[in-house]
Amino acid sequence: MRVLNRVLAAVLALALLVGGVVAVAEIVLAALRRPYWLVAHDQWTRWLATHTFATGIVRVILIGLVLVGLLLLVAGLRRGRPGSLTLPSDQEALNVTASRRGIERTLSAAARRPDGVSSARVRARRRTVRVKAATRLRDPGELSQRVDEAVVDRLTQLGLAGSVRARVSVSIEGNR
Amino acid sequence: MNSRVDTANRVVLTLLGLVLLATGGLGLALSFGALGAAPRLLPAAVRNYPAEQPWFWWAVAGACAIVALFALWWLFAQLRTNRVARLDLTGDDRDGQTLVHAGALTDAVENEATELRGVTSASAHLLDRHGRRLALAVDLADYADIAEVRAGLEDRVVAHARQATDDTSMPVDIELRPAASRRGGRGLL
Repeated sequence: MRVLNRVLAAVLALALLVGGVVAVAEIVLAALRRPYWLVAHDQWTRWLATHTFATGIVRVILIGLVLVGLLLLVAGLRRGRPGSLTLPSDQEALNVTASRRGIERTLSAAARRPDGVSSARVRARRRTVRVKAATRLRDPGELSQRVDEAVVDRLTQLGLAGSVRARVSVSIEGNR
Repeated sequence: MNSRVDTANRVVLTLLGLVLLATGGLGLALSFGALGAAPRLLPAAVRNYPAEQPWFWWAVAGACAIVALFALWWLFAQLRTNRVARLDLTGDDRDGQTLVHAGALTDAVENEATELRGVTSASAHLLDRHGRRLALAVDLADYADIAEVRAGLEDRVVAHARQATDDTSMPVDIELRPAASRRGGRGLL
């Protein structure tokens, strides 16, 4: 989300910069009674004065504004998944974090460790990690519990067992 | 990335989103006759107003110039990293100046970190964010004992970096990247 916001911010900043500079230049040229540079403002004024809000193209532009506005609102307000999780530290002025992708990789490796697990997918959030493991066993028995223990062990190693809760589910391959 | 810029981006994107949404929504309401018949885009009264007010276009030009300057600042903010190139360790000017190239310190930190068992690579930067601080990102192998790596980083690498900068309370940010690589590092300890 941060990268998307940076791209959006750069594009919008560039658009505002170009728009602002062009507007100032056109106003100065008009004040000096010189011909326009990029925007034929006389034609625009005539067009705006003869059309109403019910004109088709105007409605399309307004719908476009609403859609872009919604996109920007979602980009600005959505928190998304964190890039990293803070690990507890007892030293002053020391902030230790673990990257979310790293946590997902290491938990996925831990979840695959118990016999019978053929694959595992992990999605980490601020307070929970969701582990979806798959098995080829017809009767998984207590496999879910063993996967849960392996994941919690790894969370404990990271120092996250107290702050992040693991949710483990095991599905039988072929039934998915 | 600079977290203050990320916060500023979120605020500005939200505000711009609200402005565009309100403008588009109001325009559509007028378009579909929510306030009577759809009016002209530029009514005669609005069209004539600037001609009667000589200051009007200069005020618009001023506002546009402010918007352009803000946009320029916003654009440059996306590229800012807060990285420091030099470290001034001068205690007393009368004794001369002591400057350390930040690269020398960060190279030493990276080398010491990659010597730890289970560390495959490390990247360090010296930043100026509310004062000087060290940022260290560490890639760990699959087999890395995270507690052991942390102890090595916190007790040795960070301690040595603080000693080298003569600042025992220098803030340090460590980012661990577990299972970043299957291959082993050159860690010895």
